[in-house]
Amino acid sequence: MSKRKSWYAILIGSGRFGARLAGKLSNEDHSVVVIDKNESKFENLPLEYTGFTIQGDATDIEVLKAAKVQKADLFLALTDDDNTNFFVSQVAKVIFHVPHVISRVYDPANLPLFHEYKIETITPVLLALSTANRMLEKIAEEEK
Amino acid sequence: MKVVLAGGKKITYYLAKNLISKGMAVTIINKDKAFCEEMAKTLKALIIHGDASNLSVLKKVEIFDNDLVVALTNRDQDNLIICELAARVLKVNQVFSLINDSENEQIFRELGITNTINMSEIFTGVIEQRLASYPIINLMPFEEGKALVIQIEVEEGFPIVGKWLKDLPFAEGALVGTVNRKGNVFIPHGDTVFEVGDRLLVICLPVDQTQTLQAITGWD
Repeated sequence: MSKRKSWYAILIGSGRFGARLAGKLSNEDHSVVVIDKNESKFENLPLEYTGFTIQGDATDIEVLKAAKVQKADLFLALTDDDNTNFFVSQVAKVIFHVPHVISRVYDPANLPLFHEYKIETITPVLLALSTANRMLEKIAEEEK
Repeated sequence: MKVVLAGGKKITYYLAKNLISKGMAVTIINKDKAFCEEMAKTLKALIIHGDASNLSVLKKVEIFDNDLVVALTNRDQDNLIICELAARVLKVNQVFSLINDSENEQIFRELGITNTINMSEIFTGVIEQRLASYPIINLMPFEEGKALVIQIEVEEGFPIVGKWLKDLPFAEGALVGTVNRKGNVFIPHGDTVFEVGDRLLVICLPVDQTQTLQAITGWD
């Protein structure tokens, strides 16, 4: 079995979602750096996480440089603030040419802007809606 | 044509006041409700309470393509999204942004927001210019900036070369504390004659800084 390529991944935001994703990536032997403004957020990282953490504001380009963003294969903006996610994603994509940039987007109204710049998006509201839809369809199916 | 000022506090107020006095129509969008109420009382401007980085709020303002949008928040990421929404979605031609972190100016430019107002860069430039016009080695403020110690090296052509200290047109609030002549440091007297290469420690009050430096260097 051929071994899968190991990525260099940078995650912005070490909340519940970011920290779990970081744990998963590091478990799969990818190199991972998690950046968060708030050091206490690193407590969310699972025990098996073996990557690096950087405490700092990712909208400060020096912090991104310290994380060697120019070498990243994957950049994920996962803070709870759409504007911050948009900003750091743009910087990763346009300034540092990171090949894969994924951003969390809370307000679906912001999606067109992210897509215009070819930033891939994760929108919790839409995911929850589609899950809810599937459940409702299943219930409707069963009631037939 | 109207000017839309998005975010910001004091700067927004003063800018709005200026623009209104020049006869321009001004709209202010701000997240802070108390600020909006205050502005509504003091300015002849349309005040909208809301987050300008939210497209639905911007749409409420009815911005037309010949309007001017200025992003003035203290977070560059908010300013960027305000500008992007205004320029790309609302097709506004003239979009300006305040830049808080000067390093972000390049990012804004690469993303197509070229009308940037880089506050810290402007101030740095002004200060540097002021300092660079004199061959100052070091300038240190003491006593909360009420006293300055300036380290300066005497160069060829300075009017003080070959002159006695007591003949120099120094202000009352300035004196030469020490002279370093080829590593030999001494305290000058009225009859000390300055030479090229002397390194001086000059103590002065901030108000006398310009006059003192002019007396030493002869520069404007």
